[in-house]
Amino acid sequence: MKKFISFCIYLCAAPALVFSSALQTADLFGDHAVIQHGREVPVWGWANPGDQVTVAFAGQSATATADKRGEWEAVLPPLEISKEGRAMTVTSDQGESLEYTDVVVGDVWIASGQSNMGFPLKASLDSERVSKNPDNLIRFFLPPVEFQIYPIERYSKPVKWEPGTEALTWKSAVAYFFAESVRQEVDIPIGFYLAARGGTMIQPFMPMEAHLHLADVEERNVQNLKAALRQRDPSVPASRSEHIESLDRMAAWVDSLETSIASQQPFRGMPTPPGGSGGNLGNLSGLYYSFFNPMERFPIKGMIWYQGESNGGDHGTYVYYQEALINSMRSTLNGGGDFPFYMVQLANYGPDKKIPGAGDGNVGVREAQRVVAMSMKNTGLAVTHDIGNPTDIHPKNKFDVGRRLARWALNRDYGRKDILVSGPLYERQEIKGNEIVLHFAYTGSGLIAGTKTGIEPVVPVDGPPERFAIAGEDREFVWADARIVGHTVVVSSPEVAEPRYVRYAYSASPTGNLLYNREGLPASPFKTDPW
Amino acid sequence: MILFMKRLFVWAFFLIGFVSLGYSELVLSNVFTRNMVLQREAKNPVFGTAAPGATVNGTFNGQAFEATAEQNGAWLGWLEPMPANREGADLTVESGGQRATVQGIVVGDVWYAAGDYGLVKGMNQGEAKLAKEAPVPDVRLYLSRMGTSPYPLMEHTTASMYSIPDEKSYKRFSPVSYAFAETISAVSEVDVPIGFFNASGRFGLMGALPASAAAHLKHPANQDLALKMREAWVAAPEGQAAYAAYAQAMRKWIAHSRERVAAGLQLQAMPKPPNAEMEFGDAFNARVHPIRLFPIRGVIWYVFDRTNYSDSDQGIDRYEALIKSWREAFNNPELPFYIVQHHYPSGVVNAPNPQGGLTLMQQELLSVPHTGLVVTYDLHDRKEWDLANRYDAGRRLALWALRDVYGQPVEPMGPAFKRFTVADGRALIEFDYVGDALMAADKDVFGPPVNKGGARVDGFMIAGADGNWHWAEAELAGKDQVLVWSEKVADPARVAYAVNNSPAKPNLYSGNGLPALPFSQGRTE
Repeated sequence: MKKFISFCIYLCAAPALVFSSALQTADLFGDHAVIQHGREVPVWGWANPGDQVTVAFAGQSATATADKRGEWEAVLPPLEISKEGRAMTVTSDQGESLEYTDVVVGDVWIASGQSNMGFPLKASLDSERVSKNPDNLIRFFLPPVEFQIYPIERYSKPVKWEPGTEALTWKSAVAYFFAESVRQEVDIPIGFYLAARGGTMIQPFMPMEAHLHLADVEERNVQNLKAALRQRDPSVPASRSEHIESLDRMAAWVDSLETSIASQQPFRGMPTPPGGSGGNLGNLSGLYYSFFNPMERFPIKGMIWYQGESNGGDHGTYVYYQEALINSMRSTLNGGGDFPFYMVQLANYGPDKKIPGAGDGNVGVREAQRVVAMSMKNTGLAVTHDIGNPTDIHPKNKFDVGRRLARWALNRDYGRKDILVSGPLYERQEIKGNEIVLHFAYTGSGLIAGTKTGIEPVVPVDGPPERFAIAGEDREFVWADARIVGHTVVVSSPEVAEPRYVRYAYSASPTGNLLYNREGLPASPFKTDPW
Repeated sequence: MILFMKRLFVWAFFLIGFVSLGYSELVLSNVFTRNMVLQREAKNPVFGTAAPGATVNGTFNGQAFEATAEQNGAWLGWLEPMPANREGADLTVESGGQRATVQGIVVGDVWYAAGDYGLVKGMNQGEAKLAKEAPVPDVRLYLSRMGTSPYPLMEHTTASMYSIPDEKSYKRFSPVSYAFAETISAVSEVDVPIGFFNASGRFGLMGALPASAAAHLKHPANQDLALKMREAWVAAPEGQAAYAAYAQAMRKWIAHSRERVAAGLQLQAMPKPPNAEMEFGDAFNARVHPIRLFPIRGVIWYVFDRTNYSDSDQGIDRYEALIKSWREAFNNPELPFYIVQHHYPSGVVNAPNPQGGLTLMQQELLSVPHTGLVVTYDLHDRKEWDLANRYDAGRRLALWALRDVYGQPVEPMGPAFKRFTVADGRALIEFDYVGDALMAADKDVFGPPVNKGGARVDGFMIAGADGNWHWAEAELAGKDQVLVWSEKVADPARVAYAVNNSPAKPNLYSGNGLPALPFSQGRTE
């Protein structure tokens, strides 16, 4: 019966419907929570309108009054890092109180994307070592994975923080190895807000603002979006009448529903709700609504992101979507402006057709990710085309993925300037007669050709790096001879007298001796041509 | 991007189509579609929606029927039993000057193919080669879209079509359904059109379990699930209350939304129905429930279940609940239910550890009347979840149908454990269903088993009272017995066969060429 009651509470969780009278906080505040250090912390929840609510934690306290909808928000001042689990208490002047135990203060990272971000430790390489030593200071918060067609304030079902000692092997392997790597260098609690859904394009993760930022990308698309937005905006007269008609149809449907319930007959399918349904409009921001709307106020350190497989075909446009997502989330989420945003570049997947500069598979998305990482502030890229699996879109080596991501955070956010963030990322080319000289960022202590197996370190090989292709204005790519000269790579081909463009590892699953720096980090695939 | 927009348009198209269906128009359910197969020699339903109270008149193949729309608009008429008929005929319904017609409906035998993606994925090379050896059968597969719903629906979420294989297109057909139909059609008495309803794609045991299965879940570890199911089952008191609360919450939401629309404000989140997370029954509700009134011949089940059950009884409980609730839904307590057995997707196992969990568990379902089981450990490549040879799985399923439904004198099952005695420190295992006699045969994944006359049998393990398993030597001992031993086990207490991917492939077959059932058994007292 208790379950049934709580079920009913959530059933009625539409914000305008009156909440149950008990004092409540947002689910993000609870036992085992990780709170962001060094930033003001809004703590919010619900009570009876007019109630005064006091939040006390870590020797600080703050008071707020519930507004006429019953919502209150008390803001704690910035807190010091604390590994010690302490109690957070919330009391109202009506004598109600809540106490959450084992609340720590550290960094909160969002871990978001597709199934490879959700991929559980259990199925990853090196998981046995981890499951023997669970780390209680790596904690996870897993909001419900669902599409919403309108913004929501509260999750559709209760969510709890789970400490590292609880069911850790089912949590995100990429996130875990990222945190493990950070915590080996910096002793700070890390909480993950895991917002991942398999088989999903980038579009539903984007707030509506992001879709509108895309105005320059594809005018036609934006016209459609704007039309869709107008369609769901009741302040537009035409939409208002459509809303009313739709609500009439829904009311008729509820009538038929009640008849069916009484007679225990099957139900008719629900008519399309006003402004559209999860099928179209929900797809635009459906996951933003469910994952991020309810936590926009919650302070975070940054975000790690592993997405793009489902956008594998969007070669030309993914870069704009990724930029729009980052820009808009930096304005809607509470990360203090340009918060760190570290991406996992898509892994190798699909057969290696060994065509020079083939451009097949997901490499177009890889290129977009490289371009974003090279052009946007406080972004980073973990290159993984050497640790995927040509026949499995869910490669098992998440260990190196997490560690490569963590290098960005360690260097940029945790003061470890001695740690190199990345493998070589292409910067520019210089055409010198029949050769092209390629310049890279992050060459570290020098360039090498190498191979990598499993979670073992990269093994340097004799001979030049492979998978460079070169072309003149005719766009006919041929395999190039490449040689490492200092911190550059020089490529040429006797077949191309006047080279103009280079492509490196620009295919679904490039194999062979690949380009690394001596720190063992792979160069990202790239192309220098505009095609 | 273009693809994305296309998807949007497709969606918009369906949505507009849906919205334009008023509640007063005559609609023949979208289940009725061109090239459909109706079940011969049984009453077939015809249904749809119309204005409440409206009279609907229909005709098919010289038969007429009448129906009246209920208060919620649903109407239902029945066609009297008909003989098989390959000539397509028109189904027409009329009401108040409105008319709907579907062409090309034939009469034959209708089965339900329930499975995950492996069921419908087109044939691989080896399967296509097997298909090519036989004439193309008259089979039609209903390609339903992957609808899901938290509650049972009256019709499929979108209209579907029937796929009919021919000399060129057969490779794209589901090899399981194709081989099943081909095997059945080869028997002259059963030479009628075969139709398949189909609930494949993202489909698993949980998605197939309707809320009404709550009534059948007995195992303590399934009681949380049963409670949730009752809350989503309109016939249960909990479901009545939960749905009434949902309807009421929806009314409030609509009223609240009207206020917001008047104020020009965007709407807020809608209340959710019971089972909104669609933890169970989502596929049943959208794909199976709409066609439950059809008098289908039976169900073939091809699902690789990846659930971690607390123990095998918990799993058996769920499968039994599945079978019982589908039989209730189809109103046929003897509805045949034939299962393609699990195998072991791991690679070769060098240590003799039994992994038989789900595989052996499914075998226990054979004790439920009118079920059948198809052994598959010789049809896969020991790596993938999907079988490499789904064609032979379809043929083996057909053997059950031939015996149970079509009354043919076939043995549908390979050798099954019967008795375990010990003689001179060796285990003597006796089998049922041996055909003429047991054989130790070599089988390539796609080929038939070949008896080279050898007596050595692979795939056995043996354990003494200490419970430690060892690979065992085994030898045919007469028509229906196998002798099993290991020098490491002086006094055999347990013997197992084909309960993992042993380095040497299990090779015990009946004289009919069917593989022995996996087992793990103690001595027979």
